[in-house]
Amino acid sequence: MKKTVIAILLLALSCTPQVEENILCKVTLNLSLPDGRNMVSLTIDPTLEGNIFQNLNTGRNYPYPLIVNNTGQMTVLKGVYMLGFDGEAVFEDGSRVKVRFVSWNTPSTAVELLDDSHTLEIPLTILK
Amino acid sequence: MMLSLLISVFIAQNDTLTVLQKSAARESVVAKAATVEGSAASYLMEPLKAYTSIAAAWNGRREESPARMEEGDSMDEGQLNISTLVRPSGNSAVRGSINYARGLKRNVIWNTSSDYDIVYPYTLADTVGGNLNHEKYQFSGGYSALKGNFLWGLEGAYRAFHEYRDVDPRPRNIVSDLNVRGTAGLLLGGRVLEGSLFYRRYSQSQNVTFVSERGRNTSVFHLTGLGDYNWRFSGASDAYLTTRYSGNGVGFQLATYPKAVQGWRADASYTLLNMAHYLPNQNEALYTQALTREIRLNAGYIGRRFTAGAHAAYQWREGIESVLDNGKAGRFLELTKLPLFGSSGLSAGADAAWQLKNWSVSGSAEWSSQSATGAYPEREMTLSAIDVKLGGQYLYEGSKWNFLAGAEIQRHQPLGGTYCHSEGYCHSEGYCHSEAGYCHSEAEGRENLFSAEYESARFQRLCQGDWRGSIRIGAERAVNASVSIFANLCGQFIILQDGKKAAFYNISIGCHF
Repeated sequence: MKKTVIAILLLALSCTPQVEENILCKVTLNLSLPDGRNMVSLTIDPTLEGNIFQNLNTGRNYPYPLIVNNTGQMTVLKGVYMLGFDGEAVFEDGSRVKVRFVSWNTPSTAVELLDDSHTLEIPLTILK
Repeated sequence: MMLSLLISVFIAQNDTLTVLQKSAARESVVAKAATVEGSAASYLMEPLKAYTSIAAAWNGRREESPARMEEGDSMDEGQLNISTLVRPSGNSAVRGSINYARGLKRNVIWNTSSDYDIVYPYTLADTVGGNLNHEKYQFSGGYSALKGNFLWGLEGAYRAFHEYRDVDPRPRNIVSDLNVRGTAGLLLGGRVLEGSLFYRRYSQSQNVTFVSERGRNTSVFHLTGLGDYNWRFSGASDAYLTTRYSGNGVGFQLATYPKAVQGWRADASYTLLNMAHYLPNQNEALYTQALTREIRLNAGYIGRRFTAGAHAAYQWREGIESVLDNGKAGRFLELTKLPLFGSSGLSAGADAAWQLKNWSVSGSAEWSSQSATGAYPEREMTLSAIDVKLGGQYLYEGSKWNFLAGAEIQRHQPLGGTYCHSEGYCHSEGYCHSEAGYCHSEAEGRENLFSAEYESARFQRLCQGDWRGSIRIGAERAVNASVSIFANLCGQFIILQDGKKAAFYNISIGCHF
C-alpha cells in the first residue's frame, strides 16, 4: 500500500515527456556545382511552385536565404523537410547559369532537421 | 414496482426528520459550504440525513453570440437524475448517482471533438459545422466509514458519452471516462485530517465520415490551438479522419475540517492529466500530447449562521507535438517531441453567505486571468476578468409545502486582453496592446488563415462584458412524512455589452424520499 501511494505520487510529479528545449534548427546550406566553380550569388524565386523548403508536418514553406559564395543560412522549426528548387547562379565574371536541385523534394526523400544546427550539402545540376 | 420497492427500502431508515425538513436543511448556507470537493469520505461528517432524489429535467441554452462557438449557439437536453445518500449506521454512509441525458447542440462551428476543454488545443474541426446529437450515461458510487478515529472512503464514477451528426461531415465520438478516488483520514481532537488519491482513465475515439454522393464538402483540420492547424494530416482523406485520445490522470488532496461542521476548514489539491492523441489509421502514431496540471486551494470558516471562504486555482497546460518521419518504412516513426503550445489560468476569489431564519444572502467576487501561447508560428492570447455576484433566497418551510424563491445578479467585467497571430491578426482590448510585428516568424504566411480568423472573432466575443441575472423558483409537496414531490425552475439571462442576449434554463420535476 505504502509503495503504491509513493509510486502514484512520483508519477504525478514527474510525468513529463522528454521534449526538445530548443525547437529551432539553424540550417547551413552548402551548395556546389559539378565543376566546382564559386557562385557569387544564387537567387531562388520563392514564387515558383516547385521551389519549396517545406515542413512535412506543419506544411510551412520557408523562403530560401540569399546564397553568397556557395553558402547560406536560415532558421527553421525542427522537423522533416522537403526541399527542391530551380535558381539562377551568378559568377565572378558576370555570367549566369540556371541550376536545379530536386533530390529531397518528395515526402519519401524528405530530410530530417532535428539538431540545433545542421549542415546540408547540396549538389546542384546545371540546366542546359 | 421497482421504484416503490426502492422507496420502501429507503424510508425504512430510522430518520427523525420529515422529507421536507431534510430538503430544507440542504438549502441552508451551512450545508452548502460543508462539502469538501474531491473527498471520498467527508460526506460522512456532513450534517445531511439519508436522502434520495429522482428527477426528470430539461436543460436549455440560447445564445445570440455564443461564448464558445465550439459548443454551438443553442442546446436542448432531457435528463433523468437519481442520487441517493444512505446512512446504514452512524459511522458509515453510502452515496450514489445515476444520470442519463440525451440532447442536441445546434450550430456547432469549428469543432467535431467532444469534451472540448479536456482535449484542447488538439481538437478536430471542419468548416461546415452543424448540429450535434449526444447521449450520456453517468454512474457514481461510494462508501465511507469511521472506525475508531480512522476515517476512510472509496468512490468511483464512470461516464460514457456519445456524440454524432447525421449529415456530412459526420463525426462520431465515443467517450469513456473513469474516475476513482480513495480517502483516508484521522479524527484528532474533533478535527479531521485526511488525504485523498485520484486516478482517471479517459479515452475518446473519433471518426468523421462523408456519405454524400456529391463528394466530400470540406476539409477536416487537426487544430493546434490559437488559430493554427497541422497541415500534414488535415484534409478529407479517410486515413486522417480517425483519431483517438487516451488520457491518464493522477492527483492527491489534503484536507482538514471540523467534525462538528462549525469551524475552520481548508484543502489543497494537485492533479495531472496526460492526454495522448493518436492516429489509429497511421500505425497508432502518437501525434500530440497535452499535459494539464492544476493546483487548487480552498479555505473557509463555517459559523452557525454564516460562512466565508476564499479560493485560488492555477492550471497550466503544455502542448507537445511529435515530429513524425516520412513514413517510408511503412509506419510513422516519432523522431522527436516539440513543446509548441502552453496555456495557464489563474483565479482567486472570496465568497460569503449569511442566513437569518428563512432568508439567506450570498456574495462572491473572483478575479481570473488566462493566457495561451503558441511557439511556432508565434501567437498569443491573454484575457483577464473580474466577476462579482450578489444573491438572495427565501425558503418557506411548512408541514405540507416547501416554497423557495431566489435571485442573483452578476457582473462579468473583462479587464483586458490581446490576441496576436504572427501571420496577420492582432487585436487588443483594454489595457493591453499589441505592437505590429512584435510576433516574428521566418515562415511565410499560408494563404488560408481562416482558423486564425475564427480565433480572432472568438477573442473579440470573450472581451465583452455582460450582466447576468438568475432566478430560481421551487415548490415541494409532502405526500407523507417520508415522500414528497417537487418542481423547480432555474433560469439565467445574460445581456452582453453589444446588446446581444443569452438565456439558460433548467426545469426539473421529481420526488424526494
